[in-house]
Amino acid sequence: MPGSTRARDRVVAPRSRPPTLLRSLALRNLRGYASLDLTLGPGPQLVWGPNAAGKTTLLEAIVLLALGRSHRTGADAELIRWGTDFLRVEGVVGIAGAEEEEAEGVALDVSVQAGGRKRIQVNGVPRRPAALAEQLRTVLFAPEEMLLVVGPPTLRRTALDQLAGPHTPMYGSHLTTYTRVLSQRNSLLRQIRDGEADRAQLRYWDEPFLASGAAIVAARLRLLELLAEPLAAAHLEIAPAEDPLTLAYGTNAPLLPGESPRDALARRLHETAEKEAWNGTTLVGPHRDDLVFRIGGRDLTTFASRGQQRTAILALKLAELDLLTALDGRPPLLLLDDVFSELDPLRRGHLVRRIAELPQALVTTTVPEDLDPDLRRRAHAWRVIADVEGARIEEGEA
Amino acid sequence: MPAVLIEPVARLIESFARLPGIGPKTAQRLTYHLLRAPDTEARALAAALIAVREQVVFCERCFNISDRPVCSICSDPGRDAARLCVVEEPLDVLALERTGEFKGLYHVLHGAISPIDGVGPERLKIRQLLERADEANRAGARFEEVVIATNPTLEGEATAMYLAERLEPLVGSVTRIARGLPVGGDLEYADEVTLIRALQGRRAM
Ligand SMILES: [Zn+2]
Repeated sequence: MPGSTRARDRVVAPRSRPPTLLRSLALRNLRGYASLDLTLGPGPQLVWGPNAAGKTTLLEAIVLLALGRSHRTGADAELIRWGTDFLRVEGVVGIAGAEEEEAEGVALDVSVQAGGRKRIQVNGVPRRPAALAEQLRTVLFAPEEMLLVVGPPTLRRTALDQLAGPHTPMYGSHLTTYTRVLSQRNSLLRQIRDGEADRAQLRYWDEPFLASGAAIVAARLRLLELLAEPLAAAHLEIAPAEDPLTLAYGTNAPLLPGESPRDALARRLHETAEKEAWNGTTLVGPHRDDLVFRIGGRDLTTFASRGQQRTAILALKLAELDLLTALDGRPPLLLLDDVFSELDPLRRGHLVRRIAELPQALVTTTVPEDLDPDLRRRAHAWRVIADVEGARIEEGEA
Repeated sequence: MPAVLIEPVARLIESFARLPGIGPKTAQRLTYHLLRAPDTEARALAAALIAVREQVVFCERCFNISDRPVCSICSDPGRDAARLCVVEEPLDVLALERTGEFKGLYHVLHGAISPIDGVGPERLKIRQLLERADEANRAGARFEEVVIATNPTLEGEATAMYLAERLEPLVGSVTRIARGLPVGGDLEYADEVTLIRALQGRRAM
């Protein structure tokens, strides 16, 4: 569709771009690392060492460069090494295949001061966090995610938000608005329940609640549409004998025929008006919705074996990789945090094959022997060592 | 370093730390600075603190900070008494006055509606604002325009909506300040929310 600028066309008509690599990474005062400078090449990078040595922190540094925030904490100041008052993560992203001298490279720079003040720069120019993802896109697969299918709904909502973000301009901003307006609304509802405020005041919060809430729901629904095909394909590849894997949006404001997400949310808000004032909390909206995994139409939470859950989660990760590749026109940087030990040899094989197709991937493990021998042979190995000086990294055989 | 801070030092650190924007580290730095500073500097600060409490009052009409019962803006006959601008904080008056663009009077709400912080409409100077509009009507000097200049935040918008509903029957017209791109800002670096609002607020040329 030439000339179209609608966001939805971005995935339909991907333009292929040369793949990029994270060529270097420099850390100052990030958790256990006082100072670290790494030069990274193409292909799988195997990072190994004992538990708590600093392997996950290395991945966290890359997430920080891609999102402008950590995946482990919302409190940036927590990331600063004990006894120091700032942290800085820098990286250079360049075109894969180009000679290092001729490759221009884009410099990414994230720093946090002790007071929590954060500065993000791209090529020396202050930018918003969203500008980072245009240069460095990552997909992270961490052991915590193994609970995605059977764990609490917040896990799945976080996963949905993280998946929907890249495909929807302003998703993060809608989420911030929604979170804020929801807590204002809930505070007011508690005051109404306790007879301290008047119900007429709710309407001053309804417009931003409906606008941001409906935008979130619409983006999530669209994501699930986009995800359906790559997810089914990935699942078929991993478990050809099983019934198809599908994802559904579990919502307390289901759309009636012809209804928009905003209409549905407004209708449900009206229907629950008495009850929410009695409860002192907002009962409908995307903060209460859920992601439902189904195999052959049946809800996975109720019957899935450990193996089936893992297959579903792995399929979701592979689908995420495909979707982001289509969006950007080039593959993202895959970060695997010690997940091989969680997968059986068959499922490991699928992941290994996928890693081989990617321009670059970072794989951490405590037990290199757990890894596929072929992957170990092709990977560039880095050993993480923690001692009194802090964490450091040496090149070397795994 | 002593194991326990002596009481006057601890008390000053605590007092500083309670101020907005000052963390425990800054509070310590300020305290030790004052301990080393010349006697006159510390005494000047203490005197300034007392003076601000004793000599500064809120204007009885607009609730801006003032050194007399009716502030210099409210008592200036050269101001356009038919126009009123409603702001959240005294600092907002200062910012608007620096532009020299607005020639009317002000009304300071001292905050915005925010249930999280326990701030309902009754905690703000809203009743006084409505009374002011009422009195103006009775005196036959109806406000022609009330400009609502609360912040473009969720709370500022909720407050603006609340005020507009109540002011509309009392005044000529209620307007809201426009939101747009900062001057000197590059389109490329503006965030999407600002851009969208700037587009929504576009006007014919
Ligand atoms: Zn005054």
